[in-house]
Amino acid sequence: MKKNRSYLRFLALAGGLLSVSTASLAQVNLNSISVGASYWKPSLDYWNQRSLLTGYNGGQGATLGGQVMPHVALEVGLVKGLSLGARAGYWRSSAAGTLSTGGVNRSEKLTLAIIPVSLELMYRFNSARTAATTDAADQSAKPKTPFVVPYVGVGLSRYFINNTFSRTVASGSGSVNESQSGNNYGVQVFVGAERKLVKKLYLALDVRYHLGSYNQLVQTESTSTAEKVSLNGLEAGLALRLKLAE
Amino acid sequence: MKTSTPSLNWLVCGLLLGTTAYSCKTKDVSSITPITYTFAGFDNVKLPEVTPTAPAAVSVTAGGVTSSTLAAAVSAGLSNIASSGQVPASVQQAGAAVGQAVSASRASQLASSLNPDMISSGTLSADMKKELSALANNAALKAYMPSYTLPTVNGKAVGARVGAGGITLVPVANATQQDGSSDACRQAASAAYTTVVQSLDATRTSQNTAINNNYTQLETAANSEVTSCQASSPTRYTDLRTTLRTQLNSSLATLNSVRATTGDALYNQLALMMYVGYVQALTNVDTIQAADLNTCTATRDAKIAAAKTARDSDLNRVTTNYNTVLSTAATVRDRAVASCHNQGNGG
Repeated sequence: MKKNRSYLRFLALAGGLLSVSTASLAQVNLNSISVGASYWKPSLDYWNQRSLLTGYNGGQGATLGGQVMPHVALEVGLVKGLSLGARAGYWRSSAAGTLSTGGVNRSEKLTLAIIPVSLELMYRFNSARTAATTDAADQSAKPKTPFVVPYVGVGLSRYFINNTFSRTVASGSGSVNESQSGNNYGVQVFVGAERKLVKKLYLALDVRYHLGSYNQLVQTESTSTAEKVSLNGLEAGLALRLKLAE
Repeated sequence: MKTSTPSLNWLVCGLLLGTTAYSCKTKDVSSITPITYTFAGFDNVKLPEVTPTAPAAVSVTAGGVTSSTLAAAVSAGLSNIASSGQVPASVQQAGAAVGQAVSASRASQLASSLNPDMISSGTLSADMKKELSALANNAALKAYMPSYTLPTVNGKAVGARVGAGGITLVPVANATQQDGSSDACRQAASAAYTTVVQSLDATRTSQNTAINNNYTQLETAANSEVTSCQASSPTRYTDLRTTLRTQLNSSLATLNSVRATTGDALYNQLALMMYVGYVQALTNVDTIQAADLNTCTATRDAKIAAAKTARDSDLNRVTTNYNTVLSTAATVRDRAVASCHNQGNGG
């Protein structure tokens, strides 16, 4: 039930964004819609440095590394050069290993899924260039398209976390197949540049840094602690951007 | 393309923010189910049963008065005079021994002035007592006087110190806890060890309590026996005095019956010897009775000492067992902790 609640929150958010954007298509200036993929390597320091994963594979460890994350985004204009956007991605990584400790032989697999949803404020540096570079003597001439349009931005993120964990004990009890979920807030700062490919279609190179974390409860037979898991890390990727308002 | 109006854009922004803020409370991710470690080695780490040992039995022998061999021979000789008409040598030697200690005239005076009731009732004058005591200790008559044995406790005459034995108690070993580890397996091993130690502590306490309670019961019983022991002492020695008086009366009757054969001089000497012997016997009874009162407390002390020895021995047995098992538990714990090292094959 708790697990579903987080999904409901996410769906509510996504639904809200979609409903707003749908309405915006008709009534407001929806600047762009983007799809893309980027490589994000969150720190996940707890999992990679102090958790049970470090005992996987004969003590060699099993790190949760960077993965390619698909994402979608949309953007509405606010004022000249400034726009507000929403972005969501889906990142997923797994670690598996065998363990033989305390006389218990078992194999385990942890899959960690992160859905970063962010509300972003973005500024394009030379969005006004077209007007500025218009030939004053020829008002009918088309505005000159810049080679690239750089942008910077900052976003408020909410990270939805979902663990899927399975354990198979070779002999005896203790096998489990379960999932846990949670969420927390964070911040993203990003820079990028976009270049027009064809009419209304742009290719954007986006580089951003995530600043965030979430609390992972860790229970043993006798203790229970909360470990802070860092989500800090660089993300870089490409996106195809369909500009509706140009 | 037509640009949006700022007011409409701000409305969209507001809707976005409002939607985002929905269910804004963050949530920690629940823990994965921890593995349950079971360390079978701890199952057999138990203290053996220890039941209180019965203390060593305390042996008590009563004191007594024993007539001398020579006096017995004189009695036998007197009994034979009636049938044989002759005074045997043993009787004549007894008379001669008295003659060495006291003159015949004084012997005659003493014999005629004494009677059993006077001696039994203790109405003898101090001078008379002194003279009779001197005769009893005279070297010539010493061999004819009754002797006595003091009561004993565990073979030792009462009055002697009853040794407590004394057992040094074995020191109790301390459980060695390991430094806290963040590793769940090691924590489980330490927790299992702690549980076992707690169980061992509880069992040891229970066994020690049973042993100490048993000792307290034995101690209470030994103390309560003193009163009844001392109460029975006077009756016992009254009976002994009556027996001695009966023996004296019988000996005097026999002597009187052969007076014609022995003659007055020997009669007076033998009568005096019997009176002196009776006085000495009663003195011996007084000595034994006084000692016997101490026998009761000495017996109590011996029983308590035996109970204490048994108790301390049992406590040491429990402690030794505990120390051994605790060491075993630590070994099992160390083995369990060692098994916590991931022995996976890297697959």
